This record gives sequence, structure tokens and C-alpha cells, in this order.
Amino acid sequence: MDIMDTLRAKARQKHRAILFPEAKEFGILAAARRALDEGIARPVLVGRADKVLSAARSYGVSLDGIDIIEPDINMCGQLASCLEPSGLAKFADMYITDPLYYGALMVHSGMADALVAGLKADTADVVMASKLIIGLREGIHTPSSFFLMEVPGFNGPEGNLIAFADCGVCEEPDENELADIAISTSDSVRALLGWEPRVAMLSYSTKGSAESSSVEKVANALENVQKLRPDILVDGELQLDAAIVPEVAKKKVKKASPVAGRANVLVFPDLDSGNICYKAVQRFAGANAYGPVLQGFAKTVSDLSRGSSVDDILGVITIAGAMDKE
Amino acid sequence: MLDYDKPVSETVYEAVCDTLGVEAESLSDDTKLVDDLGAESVNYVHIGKSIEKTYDITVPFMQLRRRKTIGAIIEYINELREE
Repeated sequence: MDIMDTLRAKARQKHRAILFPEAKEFGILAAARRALDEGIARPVLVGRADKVLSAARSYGVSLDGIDIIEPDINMCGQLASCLEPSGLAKFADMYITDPLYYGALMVHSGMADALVAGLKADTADVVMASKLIIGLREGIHTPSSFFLMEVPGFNGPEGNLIAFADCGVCEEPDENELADIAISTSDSVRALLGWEPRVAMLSYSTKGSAESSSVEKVANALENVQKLRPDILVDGELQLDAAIVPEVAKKKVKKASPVAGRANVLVFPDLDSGNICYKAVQRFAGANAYGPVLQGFAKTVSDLSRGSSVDDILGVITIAGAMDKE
Repeated sequence: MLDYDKPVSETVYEAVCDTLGVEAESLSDDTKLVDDLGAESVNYVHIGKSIEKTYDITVPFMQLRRRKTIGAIIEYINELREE
């Protein structure tokens, strides 16, 4: 059973309501159909029913059994409350007709469990709408993302699986943002995969072997995580080999560490290193990269790549559907 | 709110005034949103949404965020409308 089979089984058990604001797109309609037929999720489409139905008809996709909800102007007050902290409350009547914002409101209000968008909208738009309406989890100030990597030949504590963060959202995290990324990823892998997270804060230095502002940033981020969430097993700063190879960890890390040599979550110091590394592992090692899975929000939010196939979208739905409730 | 004939400059100036609480008379095409007006991401969101609702186009947030001045935003939206 590969990881997606495991997640599919979990998603079927949970049968979460997944909301799609981009309901006139073929990929969304076809993936929603399959998600319902395969019992992975309960899809909910947002948009004017006549337009959504007409789009579905034109693509030959049946929407039998799939709910469509139309943006309701009467929800303006609730949307305004969500927009209050951002100073946008007085413009709620404009945002209420935007399916992305309305969809986020529906997830915020508990009408659905997760938001899946990004086939037309930019990641930044999905992140911004979710941040403004759904909000961030308590104690988290930075949305971020992680990839679940399935690496052939790798044999770590979770077999050939390991999580990389942040490879998709937070460009130049400072020490506080880096701590947020570590905390969010730790919570995500626990919620999605049931792992006991062991988080390595990566650097080109191991435990002070080099000195620079970037090494200091990672060391400070480690301290922040330890202060904010003493329940998380975290260590740093560590080079990648010291994080995942027990023999290297023994040589380079003198103090006892619950993480060195057996990390299952790798937190990269910035988006450059994270993005380059996930693509390198994907291309050179033939790894499967599942994600980016967005995290840090009060409810599940998943982003789609604009080039996503129906299978890709179904994969994202599966991951969103398999997340334990926040 | 759809108004395809509304000049782009008018839409952008209105959105900037709305979201940042400034008077149009104090602005010019060279006004820098972040440096001169202290704009944050959320202000760019509002400017983008106002444009989308007026012309029924999609304005990618990150692309808009890269435009530093009011003039650059107007130019970018005109390009988008021509596509």
C-alpha cells in the first residue's frame, strides 16, 4: 500500500466536505465528480448554480449528488466581521460576490471542512483570502507549506517518506517565521500522517560549526520553537546529512539529540534552499513530491497548481480529506 | 459594479483612496504605494479586487504587488485588459 492509498483510505473514513470556489473549471468539476464517486470527499461547489451547471453540461460532467452553494448577500455581515481586522470590512459587499472569499467564509463558518483552490487563482490570492477570512491557527503568524516526499531508496524513520518545508510560500522567513514553519509542519505531519514529528532546522552549519547571520537566524528559530512548543522534538542548526544519517549525526552532534540522524521533518532556512532541494530530490532521485500542502490556517486550505490535471487535483483533495480536524 | 468603460486610472485612483484613506489630490502616477503611502499586502488585495470587479478580469496578486507606483499599476491593468 503506497502513501496515497493510505491517505485515500483515511479520507474515505473521514468523508470531509471539501469546498471548491473555482467551480466552472473542467478540472475541478471532473475531480469533484471522482471524489464523490470514489467516496474520498463530499465536494461542495461555490458559484451561481445556472453557470456551474451549464459549465458541467458543456464538459459532460454530471453534478448529481454534488452540492452547489451560491454566494448569499445576506452573509455580508459575517464577512465584514472577518474583514474587520484588515480594515476591509466596509468593502464586504464587494468581496461577498467573489467565490474565493465566499468559499473561505463558508469554511470559516463550518459549512465545509476544507478549501481547495488555485487552478485559476494565484497561490498568493488563495493564501491572502484564507488568511483574511479563515484566519491563522492560534500562535501562528505566518502561512507556509510543506511537501511530503516519497524518496525511492531512502530509509528513514518513516520508511521512504519525509516532509520538507517551506518549499512554496514563505520567501525569506525571519527567525520568528521560521519557527512558525517548524511548528506548522510538525502539526501538519501529525494531523495528516500520525507521525511523531522530529524536526531538523537545516543550515550549512551543524551546532555552531560555522558562524554567520543565516546560521544565527536558524539557531534563534530553534530557540523560539523550543520556547513556544516544548512538546515538539526539534534540533538545529543541522546540516542535512547530520539530520538524516545516523552515522554522520554521531560524528557531528556531540550532545544527545532526539532528532539528529533521524529527522522526519526538514525545515529549510529559506524558500530558495527549500524549493531547490525538493526539485533536486524529485528530479535526481525520482522522488514523488506531494504538495505544496498549505498550513498554518485555522482550517484546512489546499492550493492547486494552475497546470494541475484531474489526477493532481484528486491527490490534493485526498490530502485535504485525510487531515485530522484542526 | 461592472463598468467596462470606466477609465482604468479612475478605478485605480479610487481603489487607492478607498483602501488607504487618502485624497486623490495628494496622489500622482509617480506615488509609490509602499514607500509613500505605507501600503501593505491587504491594500494591494483591495486594489486588485476593485479592478477585477470593475472589468471582470483576473488580477494576479503577486504580479500586482510588484508594481510599485500608481502609474505602474495603471499600465499593468491596461496591458491585462488588452490580452
